[in-house]
Amino acid sequence: MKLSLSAAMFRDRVPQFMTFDALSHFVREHGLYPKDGKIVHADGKDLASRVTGVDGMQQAESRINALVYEIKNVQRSHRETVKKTVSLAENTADPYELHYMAGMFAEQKEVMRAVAKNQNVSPQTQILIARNPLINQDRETLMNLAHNPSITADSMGVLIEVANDPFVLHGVALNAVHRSHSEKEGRLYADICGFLAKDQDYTLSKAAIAGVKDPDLLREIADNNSLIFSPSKLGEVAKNQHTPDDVLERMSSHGLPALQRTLGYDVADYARHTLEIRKRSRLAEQEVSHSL
Amino acid sequence: MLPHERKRLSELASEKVVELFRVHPGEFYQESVTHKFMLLLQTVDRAVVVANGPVIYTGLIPGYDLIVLKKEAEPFLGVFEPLDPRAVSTADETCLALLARACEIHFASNQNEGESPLEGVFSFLGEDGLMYVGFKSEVKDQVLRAVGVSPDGLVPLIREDLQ
Repeated sequence: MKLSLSAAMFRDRVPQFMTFDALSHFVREHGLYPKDGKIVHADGKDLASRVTGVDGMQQAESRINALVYEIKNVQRSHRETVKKTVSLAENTADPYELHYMAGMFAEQKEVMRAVAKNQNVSPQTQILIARNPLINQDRETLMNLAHNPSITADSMGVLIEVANDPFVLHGVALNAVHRSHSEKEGRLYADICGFLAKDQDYTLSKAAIAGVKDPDLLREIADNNSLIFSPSKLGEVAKNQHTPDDVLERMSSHGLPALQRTLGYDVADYARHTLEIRKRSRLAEQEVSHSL
Repeated sequence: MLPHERKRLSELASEKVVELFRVHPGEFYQESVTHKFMLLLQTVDRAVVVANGPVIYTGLIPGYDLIVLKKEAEPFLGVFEPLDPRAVSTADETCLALLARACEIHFASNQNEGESPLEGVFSFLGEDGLMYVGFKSEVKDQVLRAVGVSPDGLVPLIREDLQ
């Protein structure tokens, strides 16, 4: 049987409970009963003790060579199959094909990584990858998905729900920030950024601040972070165009410790710069409205 | 039973054991039980290859029997696999006792209402055409009747056959 098929078919088969009657029917239906009415009787205790006893060790050692050889053989053919599938998953532009692969090769990490990385992956497949417990245990797959430019807001939500890994969430944050600048659907991604900006993880929330569009949240972040301990986070707030004016003005008047300035986190400078840009854009708007 | 089925079943069994007894550290112990159970199933399959027909194992896990049935028309697909050395070096008697206790709870939890606690078996049909039927030792005669074995149809297996 093909590896892919066996992986997909044997997902949830467990021993079934049966009554004697049902057993009898089943055995007859499938022709499983012995035609001559005879059955070999083995002493299970003896067998179990042979398994659990230490004397199995020698036997095992004598078979190690065969085992190693077999594993090598299996791995070689296995690797070739996987390699082919991976290159297919990397290069295909057909979303349906990718979805099919996600279903068939759920247990093949390398294939799933390639699928998650492909930019043509459809929203359904993204959610399948994020939700399927067989797939979402692999960190690299989730990383690839989080960094995939075609990830949708829904999939981001699922990833945030499923993944505890700050690295995966960081990818989500970067993508969401990038997307929040677009006109269409920007609001949705800005909300995701807002959610991530409240995260306990310093680097993650810092990365997400750039995409936040909610002035109240930005004010809250500015109030709750100190200039000494988290200057880079404040710097991001100062760079954000949606920070309220009064917050920016307060920031621009900060006297900065020399250390932070040498590290490049000049919050006051950023705030001043942002204010300057805003002033100019307002002037430009006024001019436009005048000329109209 | 194909290797992946064996692995899956062993994982289920070890999950059950760890879950029921809250063994710490769970993860390590679970892996060890998985290996042991896999080895047990592997040995069972090996005996089926040697016997080339249906086999009953009495008391494989203390208090529980196992019957392996096989379609007569179909050739046996299983391969004579080498044992897993990791399992051999870590196997012990405690594991069997734990599995027996897990079986007891598992059987008790899967009774339909209104039936006495012994009425029934757990069965699994492998993809290679072998069927595994597990049951309590007390109901052996009933199960044998259900699978079509005549009362005097037991053929003892000679120990040397397994080696």
